[in-house]
Amino acid sequence: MSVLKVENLVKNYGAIKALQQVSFEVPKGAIFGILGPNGSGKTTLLGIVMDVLKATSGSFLWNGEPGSNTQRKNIGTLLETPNFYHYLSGQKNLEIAAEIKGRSRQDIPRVLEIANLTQRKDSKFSSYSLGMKQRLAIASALLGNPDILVFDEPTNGLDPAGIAEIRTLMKKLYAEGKTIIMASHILDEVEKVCTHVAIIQKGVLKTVGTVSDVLNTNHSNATESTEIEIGAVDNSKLLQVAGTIVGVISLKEESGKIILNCENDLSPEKVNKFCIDNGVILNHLNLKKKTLESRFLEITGNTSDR
Amino acid sequence: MLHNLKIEWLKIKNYRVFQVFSILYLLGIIGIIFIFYKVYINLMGNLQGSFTGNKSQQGTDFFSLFGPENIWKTVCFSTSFLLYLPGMIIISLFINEVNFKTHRQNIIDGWKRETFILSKISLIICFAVVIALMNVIAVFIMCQVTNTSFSLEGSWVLVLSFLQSVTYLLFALTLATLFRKSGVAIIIFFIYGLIIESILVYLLNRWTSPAGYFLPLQVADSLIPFPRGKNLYPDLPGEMVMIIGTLVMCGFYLFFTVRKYKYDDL
Repeated sequence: MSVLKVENLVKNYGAIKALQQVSFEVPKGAIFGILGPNGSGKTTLLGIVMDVLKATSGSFLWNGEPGSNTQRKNIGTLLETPNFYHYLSGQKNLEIAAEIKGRSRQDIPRVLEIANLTQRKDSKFSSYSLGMKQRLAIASALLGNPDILVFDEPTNGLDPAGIAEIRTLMKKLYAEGKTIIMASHILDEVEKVCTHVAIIQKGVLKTVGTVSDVLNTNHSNATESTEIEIGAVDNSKLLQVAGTIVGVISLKEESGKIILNCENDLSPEKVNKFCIDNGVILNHLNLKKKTLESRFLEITGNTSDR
Repeated sequence: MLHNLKIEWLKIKNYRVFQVFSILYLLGIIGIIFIFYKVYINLMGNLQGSFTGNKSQQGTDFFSLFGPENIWKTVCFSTSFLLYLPGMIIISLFINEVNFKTHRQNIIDGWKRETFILSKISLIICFAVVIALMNVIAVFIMCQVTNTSFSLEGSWVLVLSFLQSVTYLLFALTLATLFRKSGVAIIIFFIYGLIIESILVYLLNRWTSPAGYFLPLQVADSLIPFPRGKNLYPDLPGEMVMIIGTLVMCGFYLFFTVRKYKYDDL
């Protein structure tokens, strides 16, 4: 059973269509990344499943049941920005969160330790840096050790060391069997930690699946091809030979290397063999791996949703 | 509900606006009753003296506003002018939650939307109970000041005072729900309550009396009119009619705020 099932979710703000018929499932134990440009509808989607926004139509199920406050108590959530009482200390804010969640206050020192905020627990929230505020929100989400975590842009405001810490924490939580749903516009972040990804653009779900599936499956806007980079001592001869390889769609010379745009079934081994058979010894052979960034740009057409 | 109130207390006990306005309210009670008493006693004594030529009448409780039969009404009437202060606290508390999005966080953490707004309404009930208790203390102190024996006779007005406080605070909550900017909501609260409604009451009662007594705040004010001032309120309906009118108005505020909070995007 999926942890979260979203079915035909629609959210309109007047004439603006923030979400259009979005449907997907989050498998148990996954780190599920929701990827999209700023304003694509990621936070709106999470706001709806956490009941702070009302969907225009559609539905969602948490663990097979309609969303309820009892379920939300068992989901650790950081939505958009850290929302705390600015005149209260980190400790007092966590006490309020623990009371609402029905969790023991005895769990507070543990989450403060994870968030590295033990030293500053008695300082007012308003005196915290952006990174500390973000860490307090993560601490609050971890209260009671919930099995599901929802993070919206979790590394916002964190320095590189803080970002690395959050990545490590997520991987640790994933290893413990937690399900993590994470919205982000930082492609590198999603690629480094997520097992599954959904790409949203202008409120429309473009693709969803495991990260490797999304990287490798075809998309209607994209050509099904791979890129192989080759080089030799005599590149002009190589250029002539490469042009005759069956399966090469196009080729170009770039920075002393020849880049072949090939059909997917043409492997680097075949290219190498063909070149040797035709008297060219390659001194450079590289299968250019698709990154989530290149895939994302392919799918979204490199446009912002703003 | 007690658990939710405990959470509300955790939220507000260190909130500066709450602390400052609570102190101002306490000082205000002492101040307003003292001023009311001094001005009234001196004014009435002088008037009585000028009619009779007897200067020794200065300091006489001419209308016996502070006598056993009227002291509850007098104190509750005087302190009702201070209801704007707890009203401001309610507006600030609510809008502070909206501005810092902690109302959203409470829902995310596991409260129902209704729970959030109902805990604010419970807080209003608590405030109204405290205000009623303050009135009891104020009556007790005034009994000592005026050498009147403390008696529960006439203390029914405490229930009316409680209703009046609830009405004012629910009205403040409604404004906060509507405007979501504390400055705007507080200004409207004051301008409407102190100026606009007085004009409307006058105009409505002039042409369609007693319709003016059923305006949003006036309906509650009419529960505790100026003691011994019947001539000031021509056509004022009976107490039970005004109680029903007040309850209906409170019902409207409750319906509006709960509905808005339950169904709107946060």
